[in-house]
Amino acid sequence: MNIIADKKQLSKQLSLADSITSTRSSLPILSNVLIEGKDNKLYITSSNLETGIRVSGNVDVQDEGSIVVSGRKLLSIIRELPDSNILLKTDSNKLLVKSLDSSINAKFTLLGVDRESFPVVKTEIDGSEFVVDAEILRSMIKKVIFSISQDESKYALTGVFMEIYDGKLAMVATDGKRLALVEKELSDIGVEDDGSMIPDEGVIVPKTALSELLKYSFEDQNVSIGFSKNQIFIKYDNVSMVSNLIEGKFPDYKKIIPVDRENFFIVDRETFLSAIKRVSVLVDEAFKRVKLSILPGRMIVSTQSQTMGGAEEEIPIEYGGEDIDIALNYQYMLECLREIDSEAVVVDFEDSERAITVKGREEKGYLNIIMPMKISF
Amino acid sequence: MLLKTMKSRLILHIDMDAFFASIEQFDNPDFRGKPVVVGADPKGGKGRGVVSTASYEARKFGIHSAMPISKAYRLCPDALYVRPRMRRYVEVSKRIMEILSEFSPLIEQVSIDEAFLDCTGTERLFGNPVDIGKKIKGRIFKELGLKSSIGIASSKSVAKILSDLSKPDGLLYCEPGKEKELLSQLDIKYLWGAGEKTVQILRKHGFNKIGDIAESDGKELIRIFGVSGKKLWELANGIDDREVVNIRVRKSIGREITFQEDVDDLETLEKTILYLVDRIAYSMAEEGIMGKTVTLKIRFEDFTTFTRSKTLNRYTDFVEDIKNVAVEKLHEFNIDKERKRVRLLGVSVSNLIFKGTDGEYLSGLQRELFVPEGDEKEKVQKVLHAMKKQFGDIVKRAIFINGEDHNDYN
Repeated sequence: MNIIADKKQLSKQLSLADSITSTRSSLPILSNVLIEGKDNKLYITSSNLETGIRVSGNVDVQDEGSIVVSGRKLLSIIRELPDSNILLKTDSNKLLVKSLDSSINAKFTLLGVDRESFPVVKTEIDGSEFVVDAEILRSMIKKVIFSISQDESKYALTGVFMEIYDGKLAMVATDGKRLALVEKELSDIGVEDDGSMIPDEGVIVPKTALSELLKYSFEDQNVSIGFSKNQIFIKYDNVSMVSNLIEGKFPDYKKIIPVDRENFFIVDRETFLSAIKRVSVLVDEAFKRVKLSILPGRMIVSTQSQTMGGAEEEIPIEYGGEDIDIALNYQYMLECLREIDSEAVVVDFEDSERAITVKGREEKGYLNIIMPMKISF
Repeated sequence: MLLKTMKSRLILHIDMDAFFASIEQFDNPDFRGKPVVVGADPKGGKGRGVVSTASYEARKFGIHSAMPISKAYRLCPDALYVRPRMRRYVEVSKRIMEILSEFSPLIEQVSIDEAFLDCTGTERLFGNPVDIGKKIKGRIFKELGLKSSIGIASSKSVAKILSDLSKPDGLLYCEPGKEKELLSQLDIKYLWGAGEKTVQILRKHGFNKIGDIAESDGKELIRIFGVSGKKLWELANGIDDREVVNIRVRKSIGREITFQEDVDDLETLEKTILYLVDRIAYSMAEEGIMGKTVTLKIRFEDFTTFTRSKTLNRYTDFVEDIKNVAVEKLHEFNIDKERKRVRLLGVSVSNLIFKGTDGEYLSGLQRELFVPEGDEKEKVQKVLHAMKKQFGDIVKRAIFINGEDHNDYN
């Protein structure tokens, strides 16, 4: 291989690819990236076995070829070089890196690793694909991703569930204690479903792939998504990403969405958010529990910690029902309040023990469900 | 609550003198009267590791706990250097706690050789406070041949300070109401709860005696230390209403096995993990504790030993959870591929919490949205534990029925 590439482009391609290489994996080969020059393009591929990414860029290819090297090391070298063209040339099992800037005369040689043991990363969608607007996709992911379970033993909950029903695209995440659900009419996101968009039973997409999308800044607003039996393919700009879907049964979330609730209060989102933030300064971090005392016209947010003391703050709410106390993990409430796009928030509930729902009064298609904690302050 | 504040409490702090070293001297009459150092192997001065306990004879040479063993060796090469025998020390410790329990049911074991005892209201049974202390010291010495130091006061912190001051083989009592007076002349290093760092800072601010702290208006302390500044001021004034809590402080709970013959097949190793975890989970249920961190310990045939831990994001006492982590860690060693032979395998759970006061697990405060998947398995675990309790070790998981019996240590 013998190619000449622009430094900035090369470093962007590499850092994108390198972001998913696994440093802690049991397979050392996966800390490397595959560099390929062909058809006047440079392809950089990396994989952590769950997610694979292939980033392409236009370069001047003199000789086609490929090599597997440490992505992190190559990136560090490139970052140190001046902003001009860089020569990447293979010499048997070595990669020669040289800046074509006449002001410096430096040469780097990176040892390649066995090409054969690098996993095949299949990034071409086989089957149908659909195109969604990058910003819409991103905003949907952002509204649910914080509810994903961190607990590897609840494997099916470590990703975002996606499905199509009633002409809507739905994304759901839950850790078993709270749940976030966002849905958009297919017509609103400019997609027509021919029945093959997403497999009928829905899919669970792992967090890594989705966080990548959140981190990335799009040039072209179109994102193509396609599915095979157990993989999701996502294409945007010059990036092709593939991720294994999470196998497992996502819980029947529709069953737990409370309906016909009569009790609810309405509160200003900002006010509620700041009160919880302030009060939670003295929360016992082991339990993260705050208490909401809901009273006609006002609510007291309070916490008590055995080791630190306590805090309480009263805020106005719209409510005319009976007094009730509900305890919950303040973080669950903070995280969902941050994502609600509405000045006023509606919280409905049944009693101190059953799930509460949190919605924006002016926001359609976004719902959070939080299971309370036991009250024994 | 009301009663307690009205009536002064009677709290004893019992601290064993040079515990490990004294046991060695008791068990080996030849060691008596000689400097004994329990700890790492000094290897003629090249040894690594530290001193665990030094006998009083060894302390005369300047040897103390936590000192590098090589330094101890330089100070006194002729001392008797012995490796710790933890099982023996734990056994003795248990016996001491049993003796203490004859004097009051309210015992808080702080460490292997130290405990608080709340004897409030036992004077009619055992006599005045000093008599109680003497009786306890006598019982321990008569039965185990070990010396102890005891502090007696109306609060934990003063009792602790007194036992410290009375060492070795001492007994000190502070009459209720005289706490402040007693503390005032003591150097601040004796203040319980003030570590080395805190003491340094205090000295920098001109506090040298505990009395200096007690006399201050407390504001400066709060400015320097925040909330804990208030605590320091209270302690310096002999105010400490912490109760003697009837729990044993345990840092971890674990089991390990040394195989009769080194093992290299993954299936046997995984089965062994389940066997160990079953036992750990049983003990956890018995003691009412849950843990967050799971550690796998593995020793290969060449005696290289590794530990790998993972901390879960919640507390558990559930066999499946603990086993899954241990197995995951086991797989990181590539035993199959690299054909490594394993000599010892151990699992432990740390980062423990105890059952809440309301009888619920603290982590159980959070309600679940869905019926947890593990529910069935959890029921199985409960039944298994109940059966084990009733029938003992003949209750086994099916996969162990035809298996060889393991040697279960500690």
